[in-house]
Amino acid sequence: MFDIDHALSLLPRFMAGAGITLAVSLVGFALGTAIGALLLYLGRSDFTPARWFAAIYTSFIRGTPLLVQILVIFYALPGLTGVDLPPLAAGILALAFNSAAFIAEIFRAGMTRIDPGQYEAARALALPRAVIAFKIILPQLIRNVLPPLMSEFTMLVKASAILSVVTVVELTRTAQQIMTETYRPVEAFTVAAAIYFIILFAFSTLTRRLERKYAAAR
Amino acid sequence: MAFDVGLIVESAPALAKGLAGTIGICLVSLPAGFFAGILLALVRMRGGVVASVLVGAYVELFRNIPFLIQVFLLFFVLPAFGPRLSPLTAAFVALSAYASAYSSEIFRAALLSIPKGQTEAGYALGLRYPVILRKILLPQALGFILPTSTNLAITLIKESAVLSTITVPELTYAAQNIVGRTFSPVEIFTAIALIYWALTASLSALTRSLEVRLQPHLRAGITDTDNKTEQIREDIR
Repeated sequence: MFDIDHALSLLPRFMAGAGITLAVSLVGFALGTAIGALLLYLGRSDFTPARWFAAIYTSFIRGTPLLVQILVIFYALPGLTGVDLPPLAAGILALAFNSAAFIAEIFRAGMTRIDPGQYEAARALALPRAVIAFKIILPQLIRNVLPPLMSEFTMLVKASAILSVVTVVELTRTAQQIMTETYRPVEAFTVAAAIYFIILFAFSTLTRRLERKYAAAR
Repeated sequence: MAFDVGLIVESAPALAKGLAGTIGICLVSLPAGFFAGILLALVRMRGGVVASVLVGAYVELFRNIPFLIQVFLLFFVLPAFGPRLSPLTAAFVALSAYASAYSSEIFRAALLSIPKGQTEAGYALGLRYPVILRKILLPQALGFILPTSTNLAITLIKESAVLSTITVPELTYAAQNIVGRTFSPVEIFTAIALIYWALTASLSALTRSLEVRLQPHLRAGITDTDNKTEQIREDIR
């Protein structure tokens, strides 16, 4: 049965694991945004093969399991390129490559949802380019992309549990280690589940609230 | 290092078996989760406050805990309190429960998107709710339910890879076994990535054609201008 004292004594280790989970997700998300921007640029390029690449990349990322993507990066990439990645780097890279496809899509959708009339009106008023970009377009873009970006980050935190498979010692791996050390899976996994739930539920509630706020302001 | 295609050909039977496992598990779990999802959505919307809160909590629990952890809870923690499930049973239960939580949200969003007046008009005509649901609400909701459900099916196929961690005989597990024997991660993992890709891509192509057939107005080039469906789909993902 559930032993509360035992669970409490392990709490610092769980917290360290949760810290790694958040850190890995954050770095993966930042890198993913950079790659996503590149992807967006390629997708809008006049050079047809570049657009193909962006489309194929997005389809591949969306159509394959993250676990398989991680296995490819961790086990197959070294064989193909000779670059041996440590688990942590491979894990972060996988999260980045994965989220990039979704982040690019979020920005693309966010741009298309801005009424062309907004540019036209701003130009008709002879506003300088910088004013149009920062005062007219950017505020609307932020409203369009911030909530989905936040849910993408939440997805990433949730997905990062899979990094445990390539031995990144984040929250899930910590729970697995504790299970094998103590032979007590009950505390190990219920505490991990509770921590995930608290983090993810907080993020998704925050996202929903922000969505409602933006929707009300429209 | 060279890419040895012969290796993939050699392991094709084992990979095919794994693929059959993946498809089989999803084919059973998806309908099971789907029907449970309809029931959950109806209970949440029409079952009173207590039931609605309970179903809401159920849905939030499944949506806010990583699937891998759900699988571990079922496989490692449940035996301390209840039955010990075989990997395959745990796989079915985990995937169905996960699907039920997500599909209940799909149904709820779909039903909520139809104006209340339609239900009221149905009642005014003396129809009972099951009839209203079947003849009035669901046909209209289909255009939303179908694409979002395909997304759910694709999500399930992808999440099912996680089941390899509890030795469920599916595609990723088959691949890991082959790699363990032959030490050829490059060929085998690339191969299963392509197999998953082909599977999910053909599924979404199939639904797109079905969607057009079921929703003739889509053929006329009328599009969802304010991107609402896309937005809700995005939320559910």
